Amino acid sequence: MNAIQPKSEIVMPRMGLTMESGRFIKWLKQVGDTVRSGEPLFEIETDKSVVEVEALEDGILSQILAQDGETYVVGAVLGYLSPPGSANPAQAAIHSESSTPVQGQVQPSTAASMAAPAKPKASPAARRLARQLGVDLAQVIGSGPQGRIVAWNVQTAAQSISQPAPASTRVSPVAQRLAADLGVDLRQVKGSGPGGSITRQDVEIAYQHQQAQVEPLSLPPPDTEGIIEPLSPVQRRMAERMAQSFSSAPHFYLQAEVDARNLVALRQSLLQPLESRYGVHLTFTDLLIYFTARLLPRHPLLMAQWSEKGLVKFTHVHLGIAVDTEQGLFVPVLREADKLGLAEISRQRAELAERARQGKLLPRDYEQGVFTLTNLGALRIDVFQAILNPPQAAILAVGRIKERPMVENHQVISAPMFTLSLSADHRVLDGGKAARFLSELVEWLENPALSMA
Amino acid sequence: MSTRELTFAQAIREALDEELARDEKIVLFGEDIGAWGGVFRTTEGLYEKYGPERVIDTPLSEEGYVGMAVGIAMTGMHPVPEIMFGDFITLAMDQIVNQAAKMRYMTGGQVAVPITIRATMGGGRSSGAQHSQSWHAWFAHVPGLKVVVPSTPYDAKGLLKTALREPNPVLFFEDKVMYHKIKGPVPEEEYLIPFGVADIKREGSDVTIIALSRMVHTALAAAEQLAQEGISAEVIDPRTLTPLDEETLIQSVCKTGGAVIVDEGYQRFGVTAELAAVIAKGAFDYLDAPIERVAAMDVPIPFSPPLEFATIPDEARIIQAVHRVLEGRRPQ
Amino acid sequence: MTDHKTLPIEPTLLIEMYRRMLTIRFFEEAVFEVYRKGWMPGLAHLSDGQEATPVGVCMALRPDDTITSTHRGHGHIIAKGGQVEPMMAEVMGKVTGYCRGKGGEMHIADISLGILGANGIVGGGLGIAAGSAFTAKREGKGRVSVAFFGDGAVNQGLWYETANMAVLWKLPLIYVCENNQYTEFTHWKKLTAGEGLAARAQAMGMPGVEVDGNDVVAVYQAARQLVEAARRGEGPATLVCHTIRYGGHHVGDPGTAYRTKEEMDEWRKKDSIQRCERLLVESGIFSPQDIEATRSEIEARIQNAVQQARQDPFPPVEEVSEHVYA
Repeated sequence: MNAIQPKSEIVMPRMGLTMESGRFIKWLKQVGDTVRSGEPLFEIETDKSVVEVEALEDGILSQILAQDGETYVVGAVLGYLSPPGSANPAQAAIHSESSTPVQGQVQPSTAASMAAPAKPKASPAARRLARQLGVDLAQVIGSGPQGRIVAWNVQTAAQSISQPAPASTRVSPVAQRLAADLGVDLRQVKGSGPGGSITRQDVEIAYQHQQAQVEPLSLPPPDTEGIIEPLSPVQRRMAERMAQSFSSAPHFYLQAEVDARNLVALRQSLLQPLESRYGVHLTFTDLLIYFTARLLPRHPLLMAQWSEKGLVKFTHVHLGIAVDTEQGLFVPVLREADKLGLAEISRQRAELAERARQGKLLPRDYEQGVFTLTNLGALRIDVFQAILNPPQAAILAVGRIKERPMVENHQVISAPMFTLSLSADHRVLDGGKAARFLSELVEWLENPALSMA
Repeated sequence: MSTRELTFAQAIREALDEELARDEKIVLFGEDIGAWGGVFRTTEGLYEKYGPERVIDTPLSEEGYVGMAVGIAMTGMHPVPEIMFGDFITLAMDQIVNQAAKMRYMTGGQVAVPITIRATMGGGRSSGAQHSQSWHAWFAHVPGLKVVVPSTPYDAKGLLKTALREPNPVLFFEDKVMYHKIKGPVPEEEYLIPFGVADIKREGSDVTIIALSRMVHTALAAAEQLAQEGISAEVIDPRTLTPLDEETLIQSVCKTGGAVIVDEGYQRFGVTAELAAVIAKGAFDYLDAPIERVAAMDVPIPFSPPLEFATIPDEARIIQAVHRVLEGRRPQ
Repeated sequence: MTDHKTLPIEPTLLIEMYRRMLTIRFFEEAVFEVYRKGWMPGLAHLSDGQEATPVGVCMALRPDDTITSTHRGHGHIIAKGGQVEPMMAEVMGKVTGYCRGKGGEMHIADISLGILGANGIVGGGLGIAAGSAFTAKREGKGRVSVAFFGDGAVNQGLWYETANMAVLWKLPLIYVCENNQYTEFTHWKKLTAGEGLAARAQAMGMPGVEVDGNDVVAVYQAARQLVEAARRGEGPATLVCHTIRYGGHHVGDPGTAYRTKEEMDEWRKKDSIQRCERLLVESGIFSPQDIEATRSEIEARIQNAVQQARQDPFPPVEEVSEHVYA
């Protein structure tokens, strides 16, 4: 860099009376480009709107300091223009100390020090989530200050299929967000930013290419008549998890029929009082949750989980309830369901289901479940076998209650009945243990007072 | 339950009035609190109503009348000495720290010291370095004392009445600016607020702002502004430092993942330091960003307004701290 | 030679005074032994030599009158009726002590006897005593509050602040200054301007009386006058008693570096207990055998107290956070 040549500073402009800082989005020119006065030179974001900022004079963009996604105070130097006709400056983008992000943070590092530290910097919340969701922090890129990994980075990593780029490639937070939203595999993206870093533009380009490529799941090419609809992150997640669950956990299935007469009577007797006293509408699912939650502590292996290191045992009965929504299948969790009264179960279940439908579930709502209940009775399904919700070892599928003939005291009578199907992970449970749970559950459902023993 | 709007000073005055009527063992001491009605009008009319035996004008002898109050408390009455400017409390430190706080313990429980020391706090009035300080942190550091820092007329009245029934030494800090500038609803019926119960002044989900005294109002104003940016801030007022409601603070930060602690005492080794430590331990696995502290700058409080206001926490500094806590943490 | 018909004081009173002074003297000597044998933690501040002042003053008080004491407080406490057993236990830090071992030798208190605590801060009891006087006046039963302090406290600001309010509000407060000549290791005259406390008290508007602090009868009579006046509502007063401490500032200080042998010998000639014994014998109240018997009895009681306290338990650790708050 020829220091003798006079350079003009490119600064963060004040775009409004009260503006004190702005978020730098991206350069619209590359180092070495000729720039003319009035030409758009870079983009910034202020008060939620993105604006293009023009060059104030002719010149050659000789040095850039500002990084995508970082915030700078008004007046901060973002880069330099060399006078027109000066020698083409060296390509190396040295990020010096003169551009100061707001609040005097530690400066962006040079290319050499962009290599990820041996131990990734992550907030305690991020670490906890990484443990719970089984995410390797070394694979996660942080969007927090100084590249700290924060909670939503871990959540994003767990939800999306995009594997983060190798740690040595820097990806701007904007690019990372975009990649997550679009489902772009950052390993496949070529970085054109300073030091080979990946910018938002790079991700957009990669996305276009990706759409034209073969599906990552190796299926025969689709019929040319069909229209390809890109998968939403939720759809991708479900597809991946179900495939992984079904192929890794050896499933076995137990089925039992339940005489629902007493259960129906119980619900009938409680319906009005619960409505008037607690304002909740009692469903059969609520009753199933109640009994299942209270039974599980007596059969703790149903709540355990397989891992290479050994069986992971849990004692808190966090029960997942499958909820069908327009966006797909969600499994919000009722925490410590065995400690909740029936009215509280009903209230929480309804609230979680509603939030699931509105897409407003928080990580806390679907984390840490140890057992899942899924009920397709409302959709007229008599019986079905569910796939385990990984990493859980058991899932209970409930069919619809229907008047059916049954034999009692050698007589054929008609009674409301429904079928329970328990799917279990044979690495954790054997037939006997699973059967004992299911049979005791059936006993309780047929004779609810037994649960008080 | 009917309420009326009272200023912070009026609420305090009402608490004193009601308690003087209820318990003849309560006696007020202070400089110019009697015939003059108090320089901040917090004892207005009480001298006329209860006479010079219950509302006593003292000489300028903070150590003397606070020390005397310790003896009065030890011999069966409940004195309420007032420190006109909290800065002067240093003159009475030995009586508060070495005598009042320790008498019960040193005597093996033989005696109780029911003394309520009312002191003022807070700057922002160009009163200079010796008339603008907030010393509640010092006393929270002394075993044997209880420290109360109300932020609203409702809280002030309920907490002061509790203090006047408390058999232990209580430091009750009143912000000077709030006396006549803050108004709020106060029920007509009698009520007490127990010590050790924090109050969530505003519910939120993105960040926890903990604030005391006048800073509660500053924090609430900041929260309003933040709401317009789409940031939902929860504002919690601990109300008492000793005893401290740790659970409410910790639960909130577990929910939001980030905390900004605001106090008008100096930053170094102050209230914000203690609360940050409590949260760092209690909410460790749920912290998604370092805890931020916004307190008075560690310089003597200047006289000239632009300088003074640069040292006292304001909305802008709180908002900046919230931004730092949230930086890079949410998908846009 | 005086006989008891012309004694300025009741014989029974004099005997009680003698007994209490002996108790103080033997107690202090016992504590010194306890310290030397390593049977107590920390240090002790002993008042042997100063017995006449607290005894003379406290004999003029009612049981419901209160006193505050100093870091050198064993004498005040015994004079006001404190028992040697719980005192010795407190010195050793045992749970059977007056303060369950939590106060120690410098902070002994018995609220039921009106002893509002010995105090480790010089002048620390002055505010408390003034407060007790305030309450006493409010109660209207003629109760009086006495503040004991030394020549060192004379220059603490708190004395002047409380004295001002005591005179202003006519509080029944008696300031008793035990001038034992030395403020820690320095003679008081090198540290105190003017004529001393009595003159200062008068300047503040209250009587300031000086008395021979080693003459228990003189102390009693002077104190009685001031106390009765205070009871009648005439306001506060100050009594300055000139006396001496035989020991050093504390048990680790021999007291010889800053005092000469001649000086101490002079003081021993004026020993308060010897003078009292002489008075008792000369006025026929006690025979030399009575003297001997009294001494033996009290000495034995104190030795028992030492042995008992040594066997008593320390407070359980679980108690450490009790009694912080009521």
